[in-house]
Amino acid sequence: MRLDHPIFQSPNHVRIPLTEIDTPPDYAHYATAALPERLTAWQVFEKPAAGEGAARQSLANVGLVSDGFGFEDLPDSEWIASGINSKGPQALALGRQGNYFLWGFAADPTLMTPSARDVFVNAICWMKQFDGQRPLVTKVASPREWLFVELWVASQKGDRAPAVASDVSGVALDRAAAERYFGRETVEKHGKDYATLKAWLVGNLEAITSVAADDGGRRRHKVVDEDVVALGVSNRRPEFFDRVLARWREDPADELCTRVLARYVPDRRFASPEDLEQWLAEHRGRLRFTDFGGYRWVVVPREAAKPASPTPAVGAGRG
Amino acid sequence: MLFAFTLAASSVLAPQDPAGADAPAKIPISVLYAGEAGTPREAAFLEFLRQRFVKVGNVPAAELLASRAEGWDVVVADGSTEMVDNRLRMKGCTKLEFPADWTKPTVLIASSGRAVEKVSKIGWL
Repeated sequence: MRLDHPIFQSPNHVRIPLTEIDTPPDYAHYATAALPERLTAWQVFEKPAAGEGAARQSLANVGLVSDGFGFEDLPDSEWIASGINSKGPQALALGRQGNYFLWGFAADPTLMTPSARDVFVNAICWMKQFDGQRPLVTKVASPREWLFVELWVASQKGDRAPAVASDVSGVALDRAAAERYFGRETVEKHGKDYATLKAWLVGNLEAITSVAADDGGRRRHKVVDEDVVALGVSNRRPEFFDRVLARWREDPADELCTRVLARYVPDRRFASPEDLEQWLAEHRGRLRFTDFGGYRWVVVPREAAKPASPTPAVGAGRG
Repeated sequence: MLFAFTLAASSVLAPQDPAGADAPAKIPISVLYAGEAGTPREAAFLEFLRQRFVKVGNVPAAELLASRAEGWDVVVADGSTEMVDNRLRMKGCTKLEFPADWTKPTVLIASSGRAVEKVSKIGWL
């Protein structure tokens, strides 16, 4: 939770009472790193006691979390807080993309804690400045961090926390699940057993991309891009372009270069290394990689590249 | 690592500030609430928002998109879900699908987040 975010600061400067809770045991397989046994938390609302009314007891009070992995890929997005949920510690409960703010908690103001009411008001104030904006990308693919959850499934839950290094030599592989997530080709080549498959995928995390499945439907597979492995650089770091440019200059007929550029900059065709160099000179400062948006580089519009403003001091608010 | 969470209460609801007691000055932002018209939930949101903002209006969720929220600074889009006969029924703004050209600042309450899943990264996980 980002307590330094403006929604906790202005116009109401909110004192957030913090407490400690046990880390939910099912968070482990959603996590991208080892988790502590206890989490520090902020109480947002109180559920009514039994008998307070059927409506309040109904599913109407179930909140929503959104995919938080890689959510801040582009400057129009802010990950502010998770919440206790069934999708892990990085799932998004409070956050913004473009002109949309997700307040994932379902309670009405009569159930919110006083601090939550103030933060809710601050969030409304925060959002006013984003009039006229809209999200830069929509969700085309699931971010590569989902790899750990998918491995957990493919291990038949035998690998309890795939993001944490452990001895998985005895863990069985569910080949059908693995093929569903990673494609038949990957499982055939690298799925001798679970440990081998995991090593291939996790060891090449920075070369992961998403490809459409062969079934012609909407399903996608996460695969290791062996062209990126050959480049020796992450597909989502700016050094990607430096490496491609250097290699392409060396050999203008190098098809690997044109392949990866077509794959990761699909909106642009580069005729030559000089063309790429000129494009980089013009856009380098606004290039961002998005897994969500289809594992590609995008040029962020100039106005979207500007940082958001602090919440204007409107009204007295609470001190 | 910090998390927001809820706590199951065993007793009364959190006490409310008495009306008028130490009330903050109202914020000069206009807020349009869209949810299930005529419900206690709508009433609760409207009462609260009117305590805090100088101008608060409401519109049934079904009319929000057509209205474009013209003349309003920020929209609070509210909705909920419930199980009816083993089927998930969506209410309020949860049923909507915001268009790609919607640019009004919009706070999505809980399941209303699914209303933007075709036009953003936000959606039901």
